[in-house]
Amino acid sequence: MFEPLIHSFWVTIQPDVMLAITGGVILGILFGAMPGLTATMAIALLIPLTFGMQPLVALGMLAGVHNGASYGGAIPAVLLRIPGTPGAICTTFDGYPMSKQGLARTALWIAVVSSAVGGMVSAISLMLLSPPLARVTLAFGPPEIFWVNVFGLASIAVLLGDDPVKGLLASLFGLLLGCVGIDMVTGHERFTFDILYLVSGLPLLIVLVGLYAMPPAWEMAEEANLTGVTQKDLEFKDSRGIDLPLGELLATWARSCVIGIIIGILPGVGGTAGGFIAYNEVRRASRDPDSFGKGNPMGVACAESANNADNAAAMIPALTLGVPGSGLAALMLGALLIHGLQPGPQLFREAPDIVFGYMWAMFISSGLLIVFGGMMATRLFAQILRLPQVLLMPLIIAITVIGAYTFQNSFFDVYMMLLFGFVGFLMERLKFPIAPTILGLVLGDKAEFNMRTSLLMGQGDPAILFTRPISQAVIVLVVLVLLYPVWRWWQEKRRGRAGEDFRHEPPLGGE
Amino acid sequence: MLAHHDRMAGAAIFVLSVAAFAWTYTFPDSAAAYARMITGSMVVLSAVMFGRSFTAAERDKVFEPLMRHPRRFAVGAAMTVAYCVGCEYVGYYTASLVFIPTAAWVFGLRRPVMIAVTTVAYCAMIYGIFEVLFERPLPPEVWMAWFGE
Repeated sequence: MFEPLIHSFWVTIQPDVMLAITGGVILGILFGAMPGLTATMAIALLIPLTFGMQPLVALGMLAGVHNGASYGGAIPAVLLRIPGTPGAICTTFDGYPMSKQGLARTALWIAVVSSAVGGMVSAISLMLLSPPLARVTLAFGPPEIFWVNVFGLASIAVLLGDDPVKGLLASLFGLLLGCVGIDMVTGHERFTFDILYLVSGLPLLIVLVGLYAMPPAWEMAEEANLTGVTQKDLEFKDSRGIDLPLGELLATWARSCVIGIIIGILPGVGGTAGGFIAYNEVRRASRDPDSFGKGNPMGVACAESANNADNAAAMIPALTLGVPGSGLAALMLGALLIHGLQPGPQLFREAPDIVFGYMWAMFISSGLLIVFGGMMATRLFAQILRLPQVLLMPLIIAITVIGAYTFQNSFFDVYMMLLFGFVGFLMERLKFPIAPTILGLVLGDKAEFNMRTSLLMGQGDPAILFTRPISQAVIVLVVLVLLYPVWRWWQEKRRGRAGEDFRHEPPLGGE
Repeated sequence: MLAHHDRMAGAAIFVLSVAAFAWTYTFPDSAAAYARMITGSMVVLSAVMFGRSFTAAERDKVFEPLMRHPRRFAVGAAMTVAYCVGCEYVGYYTASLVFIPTAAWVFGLRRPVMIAVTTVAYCAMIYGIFEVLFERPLPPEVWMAWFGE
């Protein structure tokens, strides 16, 4: 296990990969710092750009964006009480009060170091936990893999959004999109409308960019926000010094990292939930819980470390089983496929330098946060907040269009991307989660292939899908996930609140 | 009212799913089974979504409108479509040099220097990344053909 890990380290620190990681971190911080631009959108926009790159260079850049954006969200959270990314919501609770007390500099320093610690610990967990988990999955045959795919889809669909019916419909929509094109066994065209372009199926990249990148741009057009923030809002000079108890900080990081990693690994739960759970846990364990929400530095430390600890951990089930831990990990899964890398145990055998190199990129990019998220740099990054959204909107559209075009030098791709942009906008407004659709498209043909191979193995008898012990265990997990909303509803009913907010309580995860 | 939107969305998805389900009967059996499983599930779930919008709890809920500013959205979307068509027929840089300042101006930004600098910087960045660094061809400029290039 350690030999490929060490070898891939040397591959990762080659100049081209390091340059990509560094560029990714800078871009990620810029995206994260701008409210309305998320890590998800940054990755969706950049995937087309990485298409011509070597896989490790591309994944290194995306790893940098992933970690950079997770931290970047803290900048407006501390300075303006606006979370730049959904994960930075908890950072506002104490970051902004610190800023109001003249401690913005300290709050940002705690945020960047906590983000780096969370990200590095998470990357180490990815390095240590993925290879053994991948070895376990070697025991999986087509029926088991089929059920693991179903489990991934069910968990993302049910746990990520706040409405299981819409989540499942979004998943099925993704699976349906995956059916478009020639059937691999019979050679028959499915759902192609006799359009030649669709015969080879819908390109994942085009659907992904359309669904994720276009809707925020049109939202900006709707809001028509003319003013960025003023220079006065971006004051950094601390009015007084503050003593930070290192022991308490270390304990906070340890507790939050463990929570962030566990939440990250759980399929569909990753995202914003880690920050909230860590925040509550650290406050509960604190000797002064009343100071939370009023500018306690530990509030910033736990929120940011848990938020970043989720990043690499969410890739553990994604790399080994093809089941992402968060919406963003679903997108990264798509990026792996676009670069020709199939998640699963064979990935560790066939492309160890790339898969372990990606883990190192997650580690290194977390460390680079301290360099690029330092005070001087943060001061520069915060300047992007001064750019009015009405100017950002056409820039996003222009870069999205060029990303779609350069994929295959085809305008059909551009118009297809536009169509999915409208679909994504409607999905967002109707509160359908988008990640299950992407995952459905990613896993669709894999699930179908494994289902059909299983039926061939069973000579047409579907019983083979239900009789093997590992399959049965995964089926139990699928049933538990599908029953979770019922259990939640029952819990609410017991508390006498049934029917009031069952469908509208905050979701576990977030995109 | 989102409940009404849910009702309309449920009905629309139901109709489309039924159509897709029916379409699977034109496929050979082995190619149809999986597609039928998906579309069949969509039919059931969309019916659930439609049906529950009539329950007492859903009926009385008040939610945000589907479009916050329909006119602005329509203008933004129409400009995006026009920009895509423009990229195809007049070229990427020309279309971008028109689209970026026009969109910013239409949505009310009145800072010409900022708009001009941002537009030119963006085009230079795209040129540097796509054409110099990655050598990827962009949609050709129509006026280049006038000069025989």
